[in-house]
Amino acid sequence: MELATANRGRQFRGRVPKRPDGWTVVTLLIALAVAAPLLVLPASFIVAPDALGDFAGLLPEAVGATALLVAGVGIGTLVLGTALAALVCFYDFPGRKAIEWALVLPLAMPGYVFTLFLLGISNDSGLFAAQLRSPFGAIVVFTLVLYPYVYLLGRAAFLAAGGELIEAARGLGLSRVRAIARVAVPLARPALLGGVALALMEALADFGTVNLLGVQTFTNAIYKIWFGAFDRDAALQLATMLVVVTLTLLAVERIARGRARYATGGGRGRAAQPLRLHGLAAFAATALPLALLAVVVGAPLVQLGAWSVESIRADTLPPEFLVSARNSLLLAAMALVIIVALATLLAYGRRASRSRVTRGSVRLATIGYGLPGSVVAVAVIVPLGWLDHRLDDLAGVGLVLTGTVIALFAAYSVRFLALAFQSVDSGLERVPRSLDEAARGLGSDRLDVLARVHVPLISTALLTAALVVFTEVMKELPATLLLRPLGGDTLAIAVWQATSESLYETAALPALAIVLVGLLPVALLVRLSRTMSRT
Amino acid sequence: MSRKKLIVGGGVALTLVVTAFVGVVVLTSSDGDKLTVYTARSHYGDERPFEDYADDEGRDLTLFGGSASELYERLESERENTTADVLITVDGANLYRAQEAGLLAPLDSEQLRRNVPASLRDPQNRWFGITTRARTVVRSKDRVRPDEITTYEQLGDPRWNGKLCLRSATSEYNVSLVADRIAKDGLPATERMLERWMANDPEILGSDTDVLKAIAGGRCDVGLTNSYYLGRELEDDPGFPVALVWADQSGRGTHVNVSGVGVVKGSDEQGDAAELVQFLTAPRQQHLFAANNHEFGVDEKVEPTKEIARFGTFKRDPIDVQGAGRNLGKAVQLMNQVGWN
Repeated sequence: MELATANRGRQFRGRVPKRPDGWTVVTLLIALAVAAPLLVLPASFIVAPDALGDFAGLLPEAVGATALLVAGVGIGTLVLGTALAALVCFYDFPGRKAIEWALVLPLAMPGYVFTLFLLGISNDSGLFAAQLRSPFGAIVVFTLVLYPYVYLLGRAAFLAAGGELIEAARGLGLSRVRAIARVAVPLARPALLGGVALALMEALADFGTVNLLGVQTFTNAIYKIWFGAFDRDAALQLATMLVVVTLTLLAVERIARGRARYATGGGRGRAAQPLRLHGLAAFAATALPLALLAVVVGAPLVQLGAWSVESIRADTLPPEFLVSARNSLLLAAMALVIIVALATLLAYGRRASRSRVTRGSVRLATIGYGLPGSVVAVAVIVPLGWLDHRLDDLAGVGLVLTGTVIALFAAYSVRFLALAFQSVDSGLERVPRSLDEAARGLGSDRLDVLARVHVPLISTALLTAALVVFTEVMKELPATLLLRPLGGDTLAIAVWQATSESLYETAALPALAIVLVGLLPVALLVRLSRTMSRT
Repeated sequence: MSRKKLIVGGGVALTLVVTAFVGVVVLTSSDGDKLTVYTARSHYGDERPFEDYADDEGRDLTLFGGSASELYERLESERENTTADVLITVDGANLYRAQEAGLLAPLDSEQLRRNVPASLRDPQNRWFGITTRARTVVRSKDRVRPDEITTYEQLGDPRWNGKLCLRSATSEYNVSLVADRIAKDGLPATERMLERWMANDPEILGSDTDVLKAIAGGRCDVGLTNSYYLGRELEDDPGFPVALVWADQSGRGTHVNVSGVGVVKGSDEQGDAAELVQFLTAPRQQHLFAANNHEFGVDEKVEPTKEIARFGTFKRDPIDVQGAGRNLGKAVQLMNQVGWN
């Protein structure tokens, strides 16, 4: 360190030598805390090298199904999310303002709840039963509930910039559609790909949907080996391979947008003036998004509502429904505070110190998102449990880590830090670096710049992060199931316990509550982001 | 370090600490002197025997639900520090797993030997059956005559090509059934049977209820489910057009899995836990558990519900918990190999 300082002193003659960079330390610590448990996964290859050999037959199918899912959901969410974002940003049609925010609503619909609804309908009517329980069915379900990730980020990018450029392109004789396709979409590429990456990681980590639809992805194979054959080592090895897939995905995403950083050089870009549609085009522009929302949000809400009424009438509500509701809200709210704070420190740390160590730390801290919750839970519980027993031996305090919400928050952090980070980071990237330098030049230190310059500028991004974490924790099932303390049942657990007994009506009210509670912050966020984009 | 920096940093740290603390206080409701039961049984309507115990003994119980596998993981990591006193599972495989991992304490009692037949308790007294669950053939009442299918083997009869519905291979009930067949008939015979089932191009569904509904709706003619799922449908709709077939009556009998209970080794209250186990396995409680969910008591004298009783009495082939337990891995591999998803 002394040598480095000396070198630096020589390089930048006349400037005060820098102290060791605190931000590097902060990011590294966060990354280690979040990622260290995941070392349990590859360790399984050392403990039991041959475990997976017994189940080698499961591999080709798991790889194939997962690849198909990734391709299908990737294309599906990219096309649907981009098209909808472009529609609401560049065109005007009856009901545009309402539709613009309503299109975010599917974010509140967990895949497993939507699947339950479809299965229930299909069971009663016999419609599309065979098509539903297939990779195709899973792709459709994931595309419909996950496209808002692409839509949200794409819309923000379209609004933030592109107005002048679109008009310039139009001035050069391009039609509006071609101007959008050749100027606006490429400009928004980092945001769009970021959205697709989020959607894909979500799909890869999903267990409920693929299990209900019988698609043989990695998560399903892991579950089969672990909970069917009770071979934890083989399951952890398979989970290790899933981490590799997720890492590959992240790397691809990073390379794709690595050189595509289009800072808008100073002030905000201007949104394009939307083109008024008429006649059939206007009708289609209103009707198609509405039809989509009717299928993904309207119909499930109505059906769940009907089932809920029946369950109340027949007195088949899940036990302690209100306690579950309170627990879900509390857990989500607390996780939000912790995770958004960590994500902000992480994102800002990378911006502030820009060293290789911080870049690596960020990568390390965000790999947990593509993992199934149950795998994360075990990855957390193994080292924490070990630590807990050592602590208990020393001080006789009982299980203070694994017996409480601490383990749960650790798992949530591993799972959802990437989500919050993506959102905070893309917000930060839109703040020109020259601002940092200016503020620093005026004598503020890094933390001061973060508090007084960045946080106000990226408040929308922070809200997005908070919203996403809140809804995700509300929906989260497998890790909560494994790590919840006594008396810690949540709505998602109530849904799962009823569903696993095929008691759809009993599952309906907690499922409805998850969706409705998830809708509130979605609506709030949209309102806020609208007022902000207008001022 | 500037003052501002201190304030911001301190604020963040304080928020985190307070948040975590509130969480710990609110969500970790102290177990107090309650007995804690980890139960994989659905607790819908299952509270009655526990309430009875609380009334009789003046001792409150905390029920903690979850799938058997998840409860197992929890016990495994808590070990001697666990708050659990008693473990209840819905199938033999998970009893076997808990027993093999040394999570259950042996319990020697004359009363337990009287209440639970030898085939449905651990020879070393680490777990005891409460109820049994038959996994058997179901048929459409309208389209399939009773004599057309009487055995598990016959699900592979080509006449059911495209007409067979099965639950997915992730179901622990299916895995246990296959593991039990491997233990009793050997791997080759079980493989032949499953290959014939798969040759019928079965429709794979997500739950036993879905299988029953698919048969009622005409998409399938025959299937394989636990009998209590049909009991539930018949309770809602006595005219539900699906019938139970007690399979293999001229052979070993119908496959019966066991939902059982044991004292957790790490429990601080072995005495009271043992008492609760004895209480839960008494015929009266067996009856309550069975009646609530259309299951059977481990004591065959316990009457089934009327929805199930109408299909008559049958010869039971209790699961070989040790044998099936040892073959679970092979069962998963075999099911994957023949293409049962």
